[in-house]
Amino acid sequence: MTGEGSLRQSMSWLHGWAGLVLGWLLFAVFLTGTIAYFRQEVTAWMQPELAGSVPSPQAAELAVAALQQRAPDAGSWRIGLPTPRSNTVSISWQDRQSLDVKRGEERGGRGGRGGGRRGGGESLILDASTGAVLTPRKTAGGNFLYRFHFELYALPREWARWIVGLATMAMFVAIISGIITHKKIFKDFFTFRPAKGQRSWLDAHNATAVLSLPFHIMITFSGLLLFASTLLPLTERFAGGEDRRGERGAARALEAAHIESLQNRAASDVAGGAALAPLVPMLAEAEKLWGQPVSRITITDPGRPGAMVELLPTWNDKLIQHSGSGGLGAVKMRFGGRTGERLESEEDLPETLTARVDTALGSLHRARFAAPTLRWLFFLTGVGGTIMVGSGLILWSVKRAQRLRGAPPGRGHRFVDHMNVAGVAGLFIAVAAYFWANRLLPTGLAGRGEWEIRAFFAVWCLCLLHPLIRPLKRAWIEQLSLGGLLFAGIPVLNAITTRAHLGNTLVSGNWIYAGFDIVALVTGICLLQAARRVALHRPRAIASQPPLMPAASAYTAQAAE
Amino acid sequence: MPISLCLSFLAFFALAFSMGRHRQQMTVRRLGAFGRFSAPAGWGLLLLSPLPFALLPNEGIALTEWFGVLTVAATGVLLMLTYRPRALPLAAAAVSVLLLILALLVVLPGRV
Repeated sequence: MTGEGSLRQSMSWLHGWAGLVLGWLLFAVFLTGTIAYFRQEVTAWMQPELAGSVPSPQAAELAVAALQQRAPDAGSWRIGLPTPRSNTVSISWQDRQSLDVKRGEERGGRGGRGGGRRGGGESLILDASTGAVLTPRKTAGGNFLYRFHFELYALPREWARWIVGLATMAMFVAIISGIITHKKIFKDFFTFRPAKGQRSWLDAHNATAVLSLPFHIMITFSGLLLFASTLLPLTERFAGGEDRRGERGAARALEAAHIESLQNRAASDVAGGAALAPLVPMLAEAEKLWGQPVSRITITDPGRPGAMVELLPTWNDKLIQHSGSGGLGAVKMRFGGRTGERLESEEDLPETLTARVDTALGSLHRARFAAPTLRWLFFLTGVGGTIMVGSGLILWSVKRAQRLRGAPPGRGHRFVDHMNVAGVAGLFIAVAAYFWANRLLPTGLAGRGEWEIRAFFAVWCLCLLHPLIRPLKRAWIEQLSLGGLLFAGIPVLNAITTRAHLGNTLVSGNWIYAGFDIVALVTGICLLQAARRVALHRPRAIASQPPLMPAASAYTAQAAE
Repeated sequence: MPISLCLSFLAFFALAFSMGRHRQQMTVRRLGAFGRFSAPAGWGLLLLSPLPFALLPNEGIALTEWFGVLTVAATGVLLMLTYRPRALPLAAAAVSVLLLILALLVVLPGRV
């Protein structure tokens, strides 16, 4: 017995089972995770009332005017400017009282997570050219798909993270065993032989795996690291990564004290008048230094002597920059609110090497640093990963069907076939249904976001039941066709129900909305094409030999798709 | 990024060209001078392909972009070999011209 042969065989066995057991979950994680690269864009598309807003250079001033009118005495103002990923302006403010409470806590080092959102605040979305208040429909948005990607839904958070964490571990095992199993990585590098049954599925699986291998290794390893505190609770103590809660409180206290001293400095500067200095020069100064526009502005104590303006860039430009909530926070620039003079420019990087590696891998996974082109590359490699998992699942079944040579498949095999239909084709239908629900549910419906999510799961459950009453091949064709029709129909539905349709968005160059419609259309066409291929396929092996048992061979014929 | 994409597309084309099976797909009969040197040329171009990213300020992001570009370029070669194999040499020639134009666009403003 040769060592290499047996190693490859056992690795092949390991690869098959590691991939299968949590494969459907992995497919869902990959699919929703890939969509989540465009989380903000998906949310924007799901709020078509915002589509008419056009970014303008006056956006910051419009926001300040709106804040001055609505909340002149607020303790702090926040402005989110239009970016390539959002065409509106968001404003929010916080009452002085609630802000004082929060500051007190921070000084005591007890600053909680997301404290800025606590009561006494309000937020609005404005048109970026007119300053008019926009009221979008309520939606679960891209956020649901993003959360589902690592926390599933309606399960206790720890449980869900454990489940997805185990799936990630299985993925890691599958990658390593897959590389060892693959006989001819270099020889088959560019090989894809379509319409050849098992051969084609193997080629598709290999090609998508090998060509985006750097992505697969990165995304799986960093995914594991993001789960590290769940899977290995002790690591927090050693790794010193992004999420040390205790030290974060202390850091917040330090930061609060630092800001207070800056504000005192700004207040003692008598050069400026009482009013807020114009923001435009500050934005220009920051843009010049950073080489990219500002995306967020925080104004502390507006209208007071110690008023201070804090600017954040649009995206991180280093992997080791911590991507906190919203993906920013490592790089800041602060100005005196009345003088408009720059007080400081700060870059906060993790100190130890471990923390830097950890932060960099976290950044890579979430890709919040990615500007549009790079974001598309992430999305495309994510699509490759989704195809890889899906083709792997189908390959498992096809390979075993081939081995049966017409004998009836066992219960386990039938279960895998059944789950493949619902887990692969059915998930596409469920995601499409989620988007359809967004357009079809009444805009004033209470708990609208929840209803969108219910539509997603209800449709997915139906997809799980559907293969029970249909022959396998029919089930595949029907679910792929339905998914294809629903996706390809999204631009049409959008045109009927909103004004944010391709006819308008393409003309005005509104790529956030147009891009969604186009990707949906392409997805739909691909699914319809897949359905057509399944329908046209006649397995050669079965045709050339007389069937052993009519029912069983018909079944294998379907399984061999 | 476009320059790197062109370089890596040409690199993968050359590597595919050096493999007998893929050369058959492209229906190239005679090996020619390029045939003999296509493998080293492919590896050489592949080594050159990250260089345009050296201009980027951050090496981590540059590396990320390079990996993404490699994946896209290799996928392009694979899809063409599968569905339009005979057009691949033509596509490679077109990409070479494009690469030349892009390179000139980068170099010229510095000289003038």
